[in-house]
Amino acid sequence: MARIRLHEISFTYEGASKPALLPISLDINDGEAFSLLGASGAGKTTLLNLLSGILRPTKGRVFFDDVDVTELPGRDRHLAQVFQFPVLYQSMNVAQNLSFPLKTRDASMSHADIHERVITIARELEIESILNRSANAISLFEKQLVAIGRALVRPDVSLVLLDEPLTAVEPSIKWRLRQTLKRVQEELGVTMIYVTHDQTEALTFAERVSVLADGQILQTGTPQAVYRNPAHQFVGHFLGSPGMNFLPLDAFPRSLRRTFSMDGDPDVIGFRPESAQLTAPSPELLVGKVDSQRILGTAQGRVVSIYGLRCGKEQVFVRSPASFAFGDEVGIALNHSVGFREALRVGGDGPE
Amino acid sequence: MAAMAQNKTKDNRAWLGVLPVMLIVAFSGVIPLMTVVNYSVQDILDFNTRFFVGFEWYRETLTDPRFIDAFLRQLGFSAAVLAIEIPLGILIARGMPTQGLRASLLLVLLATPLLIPWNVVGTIWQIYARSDIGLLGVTLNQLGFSFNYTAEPLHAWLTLLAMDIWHWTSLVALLAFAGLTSVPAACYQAAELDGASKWQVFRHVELPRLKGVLVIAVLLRLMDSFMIYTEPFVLTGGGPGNTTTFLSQYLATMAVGQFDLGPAAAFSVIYFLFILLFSWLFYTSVMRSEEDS
Repeated sequence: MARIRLHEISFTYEGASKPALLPISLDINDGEAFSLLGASGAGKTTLLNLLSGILRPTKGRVFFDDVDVTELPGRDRHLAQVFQFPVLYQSMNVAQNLSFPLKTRDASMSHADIHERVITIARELEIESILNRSANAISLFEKQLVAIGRALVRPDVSLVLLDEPLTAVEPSIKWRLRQTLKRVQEELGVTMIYVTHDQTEALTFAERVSVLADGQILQTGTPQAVYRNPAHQFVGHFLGSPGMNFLPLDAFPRSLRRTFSMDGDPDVIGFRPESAQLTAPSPELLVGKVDSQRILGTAQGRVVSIYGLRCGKEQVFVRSPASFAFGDEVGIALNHSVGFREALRVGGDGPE
Repeated sequence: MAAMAQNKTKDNRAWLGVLPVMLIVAFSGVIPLMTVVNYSVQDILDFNTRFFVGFEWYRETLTDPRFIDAFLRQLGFSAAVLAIEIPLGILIARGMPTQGLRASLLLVLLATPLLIPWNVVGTIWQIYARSDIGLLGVTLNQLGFSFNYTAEPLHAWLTLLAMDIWHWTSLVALLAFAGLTSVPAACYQAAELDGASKWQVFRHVELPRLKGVLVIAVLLRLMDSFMIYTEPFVLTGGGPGNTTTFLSQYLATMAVGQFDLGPAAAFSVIYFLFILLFSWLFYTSVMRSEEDS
């Protein structure tokens, strides 16, 4: 296990006009479940390749446990990677696949020790029953489990990189694999970096998450903090479905404007669809006209919907158990809001 | 039941649809082959005089020392060709760049020998290896090796092998190259992180994914080298002595030179069955090992 420290690393692909990664500093704790979240092209894969040693940073250093590994090839960094589709050695059976990383480097490990370690990992992942099967003769789900097992099998593994590991797995068993991953991570205490564009995967897996866009880390924090108090409008927009609502300050009534302005002088106010309530319209409230409704389901016997509301030129979405008709004028009372100035969060709103 | 019977009558018309194909196959494949089988059980003296001799010609062929010698030479030649061309082809494929102008140029260069007609290849080497005027032959002699493929059986063999390697290794290399380009980058990356050695990467990452194309490469080279005719005919004419007379050439001498139609037909059938047998043995053994693993 190791603590990972990225110090001001940046990367520009050869011949590219702009850098793929702007200088990034990041600390990942020993045994932490960490997630890198971002749309495709945000620089996730570049960052991953810098960690696994496929790429060398243009500038900056990479430390594993205070050891500078910037120049070390991947094989000497004691890390493992799980890929988008299961990567197995086809000519071997499951047990041979699992023991392979133990046999390549550590000649001192005895046969019995290797066997024991393979059994331990197989038991952890609940794949003992398929140990003697050919790697070609198992399901996609089992293949990915074996690939994860191979990543975890070395006792000295310092870091496990997961590159969208659920992409190839069918939706119905995604949650099972995610559950297994989370449990194994907690039980073995391995440092894991989970790269994904899927917010559900990132937010449910990680203790902390970094949101990337355009080669930059926009925010790093616990899933709750990143979700509730996005540091950048993009983060608010990217997380949640639908994402955060943004309205210019002058869309609000004067009394509210004054309250907002006291906290850091924002030009845009953001709020989550679930952190507002729909009530009767009043001059003290933001007012909108209902123009769409999507039923989410029922909660405590009441139908919960997402209403689309028109506030002047803008549209906002609010979750509500009340029922309204199209064209109704409603008041929108905010429970929690975040102020932004030039896309960045301003004002204090609790701890991150 | 009545409906079914009606359907059946209708279905029979489909036979008319496949009739042209059956006729073409019979005309071009089945009947000529059966003619050979027919010849192989008869002693043909002239157009009107023939006797049924049963398996006599087969017995004679299989006990003919010249046939056995040619057969063993053929086996040796095919084995040597496979033993050199397959590993060499893989080696070349692994060393090739995968993209860019250099890759395209190399592919064209590799494909060139495959486009040259067999008899031209034979002629090229016939001249190239001559010890009096050929570039290779003269160079070797200048370097102090007394090289003469028209007199020395060993030299004739080496020249033949070199020619076949020159002509056909490209095929194996191209097939292996196609196989290698289909190996996903993630597989190499995983092996690197697992600490696999170069040999282990080849053995466990590349070879399993090359298996399909290599089976085809081995089958093609096995069949082709087993039937080789034109090139040795042009290069050595089977000599010196009979040392490079392979099965096809012996067969041609029999059928066309001496007009022994019966024995030549039996020979052909045996020849055909051997190629079929080897290919089948190879293919099933490979496929069986796949199931076992």
